[in-house]
This record gives sequence, C-alpha cells and structure tokens, in this order.
Amino acid sequence: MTQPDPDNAEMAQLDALFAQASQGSDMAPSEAFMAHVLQDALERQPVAVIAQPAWWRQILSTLGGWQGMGGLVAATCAGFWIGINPPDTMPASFETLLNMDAVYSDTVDTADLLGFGWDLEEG
Amino acid sequence: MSMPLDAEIDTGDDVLLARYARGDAAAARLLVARLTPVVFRHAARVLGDTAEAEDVTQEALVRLWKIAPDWEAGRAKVTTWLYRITANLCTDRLRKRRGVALDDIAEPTDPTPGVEAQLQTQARMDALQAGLMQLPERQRQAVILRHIEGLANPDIAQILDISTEAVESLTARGKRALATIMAPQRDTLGYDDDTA
Repeated sequence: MTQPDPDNAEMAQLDALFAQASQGSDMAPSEAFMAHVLQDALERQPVAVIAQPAWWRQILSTLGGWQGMGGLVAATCAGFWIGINPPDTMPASFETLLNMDAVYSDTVDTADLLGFGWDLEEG
Repeated sequence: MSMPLDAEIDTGDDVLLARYARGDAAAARLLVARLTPVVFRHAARVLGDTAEAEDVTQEALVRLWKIAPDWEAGRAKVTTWLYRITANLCTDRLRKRRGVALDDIAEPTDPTPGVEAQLQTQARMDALQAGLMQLPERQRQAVILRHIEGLANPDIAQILDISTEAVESLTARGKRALATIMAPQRDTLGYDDDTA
C-alpha cells in the first residue's frame, strides 16, 4: 500500500520542526559528560616539548648575540691586521709591546742577565 | 564548566587541533567545548539513545585526539572528518542493534515539567525523533545532516561517502517519508497553532 505524498503544509510543518531541532536545545550533552570528554582529551594530549637551542645558538647567546659576535670578529680582524702591517704612526711603546724591535745581539751576554746573584748563593 | 569560547571564536578547528598536538591545554578545552555538542547531537539523533550517543561521541573524539599530531591542515574540515567517524560508528551500532523493536529504544530525557510550551516543544521534538527513527539509516543520517545540522550537500557526500546526487536523492526521499510518517500527529502536536 503506498501512502499519499505529503502536501505543502505538511512539508512546511516539517521545516518548522527541523528549525526548532537545529537549535539543539533538546540534545545537549550533560556537564558531567563534557567534563569526562575533557579529561580524556587532556590525558591523551601530547606533552609540550620545549626544543633546546642548537649549540651554536647557545654560544652566540653567551657572546651577546649577533651584535656581540660582530664586535668580536671586527676586533679580531683589526688586531690581526695591525700585527701584520702596523701603521707608521704607531707609538714605539706599542712596537715594544708587539715585540717588533727584538733583534739578536752578540754584544749582550745572557749569562750576565740570567746568572745575576747565583755566584753569591753558591759561594 | 565555563570555557573561554568568545576570545577564540574565529580560530579554526584545524588551528586548535595543531595547538592541541603541541600540548596546549587551552586548545583542548576549546575543542571539547566546540566539538562535543556537535558530535553528541548527531549521534543522539541517529541512535535515539543518549547513553549510546555518549559512547559514540567519546570514541569519535578519542580518535580525533589520536590523529591530532598527524593532522594535515587543509586536508579536510575537522567537523566533516568527525561527522564521518560519527556516522560510521552509529552505523556499526545500528547494525548490532538490528532486531530491537522501536519501542525498546530509549526516549529522550523528560523536559522540566510545569511549562506547557516547553512540554509542547518537547513533544514535537520527541515526535520528530520517533519519526527519524523510522527512516532507513542512510536516509536518517542524510536528513539529520542536511536539515538539522544544516550541512551542504558536498559535505554530506564526503561524510557518507556517496555522490552529491545521491545525497540530494536521499534527503528528498527522507524528508518526504518523514512528513508522511508525521502527518497523523498533526493535530496532537498542535502545528496549526504555529502555522495559522
């Protein structure tokens, strides 16, 4: 036995029912169930991993970051260059410091310098 | 349980899922608050049983938590994926339940007594639920997704793993059948009070 097709009024009533049902007020999960689901979610949640910075980043950080590292490299280059090619205007004391006036001399007897006072102790 | 939904109302489910996978507990709370009612409502409508709907909801969401670290953003909408899992879980349950008489299916919970309008609304919702339970399972799923959850036909096609044309056919036939099933209750449910 076939049932008669619903008329427009019946379809409109059904639409009204759907609209009411779509608000979902009659089908809300309980608070207790929501709490249970949350507990599940937190228990299964991957633990947050705080990544360790790479070794070179740690060194960089110790030296004061990129700025500190830049200053260090600049100072190293400048020192190296001054060592190779000292400027003419450099004071003599700097040259002494850099050991640039060291020359071999036969006239100085190192025994006189190094042996000072030993003879007194030895008698 | 109060949850700060308003602050991140525009944040996408996939973004929250990525945050969940990175260990963000706030994202977990937001996802639970947002998705649990959606899954539960669909399962309850399809199964017509609150306790079973809770089981299905829990299982569907556990699957989501498990897949979260491997979720590829943009692959699919999180809700579509969840609806699909829920629909399949409901189908499994209904298959196991075959042979159980309609009268044995639990009625939705009683409303707060005393207010006539509330009772009337509840009576209509119960009648709708009873009518839905008489539809074949696929028709029921399609009608609920289209007319109650308000999903678009292409989304429903993805969820039910059928063509969009098949969805159109299912929903049209389902709606007609439901209207026919509910026609005899027209007077008792007082539709004419609203539509007059």
